Amino acid sequence: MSRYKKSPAEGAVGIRGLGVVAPQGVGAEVFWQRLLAGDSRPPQTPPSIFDAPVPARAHTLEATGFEAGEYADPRIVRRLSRYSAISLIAAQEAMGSGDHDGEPRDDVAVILGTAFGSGVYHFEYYNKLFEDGLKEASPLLFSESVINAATGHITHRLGLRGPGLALVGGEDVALKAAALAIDKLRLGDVSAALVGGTDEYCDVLHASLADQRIVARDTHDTACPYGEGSAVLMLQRIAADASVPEDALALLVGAGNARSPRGTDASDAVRMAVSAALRDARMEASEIDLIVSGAGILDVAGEFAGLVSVLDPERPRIICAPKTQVGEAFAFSSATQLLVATLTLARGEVPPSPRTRFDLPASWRLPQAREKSDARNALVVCGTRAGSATAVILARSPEES
Amino acid sequence: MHPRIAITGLGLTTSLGVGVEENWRRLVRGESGVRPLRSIDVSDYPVKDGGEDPPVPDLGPDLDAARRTPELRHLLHVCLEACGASGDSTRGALARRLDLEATRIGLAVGSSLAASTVSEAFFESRRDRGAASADYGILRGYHVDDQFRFLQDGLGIQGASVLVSNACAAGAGSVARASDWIRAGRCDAVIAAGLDAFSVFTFAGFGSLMALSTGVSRPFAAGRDGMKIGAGYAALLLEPLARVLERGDRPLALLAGYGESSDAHHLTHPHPEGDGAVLAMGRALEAAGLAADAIDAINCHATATPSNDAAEVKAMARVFGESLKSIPLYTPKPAVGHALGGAGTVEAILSVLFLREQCLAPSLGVGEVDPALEVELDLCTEARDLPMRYVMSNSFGFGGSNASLIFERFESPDPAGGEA
Repeated sequence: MSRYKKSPAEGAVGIRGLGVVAPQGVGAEVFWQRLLAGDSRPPQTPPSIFDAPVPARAHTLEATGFEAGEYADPRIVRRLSRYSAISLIAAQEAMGSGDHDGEPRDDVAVILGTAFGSGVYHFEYYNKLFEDGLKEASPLLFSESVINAATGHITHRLGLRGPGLALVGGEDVALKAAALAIDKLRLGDVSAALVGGTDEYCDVLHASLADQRIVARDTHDTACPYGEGSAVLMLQRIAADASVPEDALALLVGAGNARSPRGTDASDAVRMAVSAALRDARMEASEIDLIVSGAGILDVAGEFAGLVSVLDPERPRIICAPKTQVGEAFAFSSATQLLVATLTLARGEVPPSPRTRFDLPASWRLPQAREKSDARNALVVCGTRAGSATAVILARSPEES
Repeated sequence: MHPRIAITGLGLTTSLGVGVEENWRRLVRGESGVRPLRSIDVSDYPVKDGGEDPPVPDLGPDLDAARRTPELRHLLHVCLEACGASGDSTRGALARRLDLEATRIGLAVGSSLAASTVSEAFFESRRDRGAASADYGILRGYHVDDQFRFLQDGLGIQGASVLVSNACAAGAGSVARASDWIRAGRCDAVIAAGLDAFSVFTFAGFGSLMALSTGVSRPFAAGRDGMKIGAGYAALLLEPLARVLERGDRPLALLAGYGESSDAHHLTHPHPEGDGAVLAMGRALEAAGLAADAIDAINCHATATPSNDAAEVKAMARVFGESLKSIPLYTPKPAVGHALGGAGTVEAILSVLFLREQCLAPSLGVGEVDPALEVELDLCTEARDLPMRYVMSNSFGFGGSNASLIFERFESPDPAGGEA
């Protein structure tokens, strides 16, 4: 039985909207249906933007096949970096509105995570600077390559005057954004928040990431392909004496973040982050029945070594690893984890996680095809290659009695 | 209303020098770290000066710092200074001193450049060797999370961590995040840091936007034409006030409250009426439980660009009304340069020092206020002793990101305002 009945004993954080721009398509519903079907795009040959030496057989999962101007004002998006444009499109969908045309919303925050911001504009700016000199520096490329350009455009176009925060981090950065939003909402600093993660494709970064084996060098690689996309969730504070709105997809109930004491192995960080999230949610480990993992084909960060040390490996659980479908897209990948957890709890189905090659306790299943799920509480966890981890816990929205 | 949060440590490096006391001595003497540039060839460029990075202090062999970028080493150095390491870079020293588990100590960093300064070295390699043969290994330094591993390992802490990249409001944003974590009970101590190196990326970028002064940077003056870029690295140690008092320590100052907002107006131009800045300052006052006339001094953002200064003055006039002309203002950037993502944290430390010393440093480059601003401002052109209890420090950045911090002089244990 869900801990939360009609009126939570304390203020809760409800997930009221979703927005996505992904390799699987534009729009949360399109994305979700294709994820359930395991309908990954065929491997794409990466574009050459800066003639970077991307491995010849490397492939990507890019969000292509659409015109940004079909989803946002074309006069605006044509000047934006891809990073900003897809962030704005996803945020608009999550907010449930088009271009702002009403009164400013003073108490809505925007908290967006990214690993690299607009790599393309950033490197294009540098390219021009080094080739043409100081006097030829591009004001457009400079201002659009600033990390918080995306949040700036979102707050501007949606008329949001709460804090607009751009977070930079590793694979778990969108979960850090969610953790921060939970605190801001509980503290009453804001009443709602757009939270998510965006990363865009850039061949310069691809060459470096492939060289480090962080992303796949070919289709047979055990690393995930380099991906891109944007996923945004609309969160709203639910007052302690209020009922959970009927359209709340799920509730965010706890979060934790930590770093391992030992180098780049994130297993200790995962254990500490999950323990902190459970304490924050006032939940027992036994109540977690769905785990949405940040692992890809392999569990490079050692997530599951950490998970089995805090979650009983004998207790049956369902595992989902969305990175196997959306690729290693850093902030977008971790934002997708939140989205998958939300919709699995709300819709009662879990998408498949194909091609995984990591060991799990016998009682933990990782479906290779879509299947029904009666999960009530989801743990979203992401360990990073640098030895940190963030965990967020979601609860199914209580049913009306 | 926010509970008062104690500030118990400071670390500071700017173009003026290394260390809190070194910077204070030089600031109060009216010195500036803005000098003719040596790291960039500006012979054919209208802007010739800025505040470049000082040499990196030696961190010793134990921290494996030699292979790290200079700015990361500077950042760790100021964090260690804030932790009271004083040359003791032993991992875990802070946790032992505060009697805390390492997982209860957080690290919040503000930076506009984040890890992207490695791109300069990469593009030099690319220019010299070609796209196919450039050293892509340099870009391994692009990973912020790996940088945090270095910092947290060096400090012996394992708690919550985040990098806020809100342009010129990022540094103040790190202090705000520290407040959030302490108020939410996630951390019992947080190092709030900010940094940005002097970089050709930002120097040329702001130059392309005509935001750099070709002469002397003159905040709020007629004919002002912009700012100077400056390196800045700063760190504050924040703790719940009750914990500090329980162990018998005395805070350097208190964070009384903060406010943040977005302009929702334009990516690079501030709202002309200062709407977002008004919101941020109003929220800070509300969080601190103060009326506007309680503020004794304002540490202004004051980039000396025509539009930014105008918007900032309008915003201050709307918040403070007639009392604005009686509030002494400080404009830090002609002395230390605009440290961009580090500015909010650098200037937070300056605000704490003003309270500690009960003295405002002189504002350089200021003179007669631009008549077009239609306001009377009290700009201190010389160091001024004056009683201060509350200092407001403002940061307004690209993307319409605004942050306002209010610091309070610690006078005595305050059960009504302290953290339980």
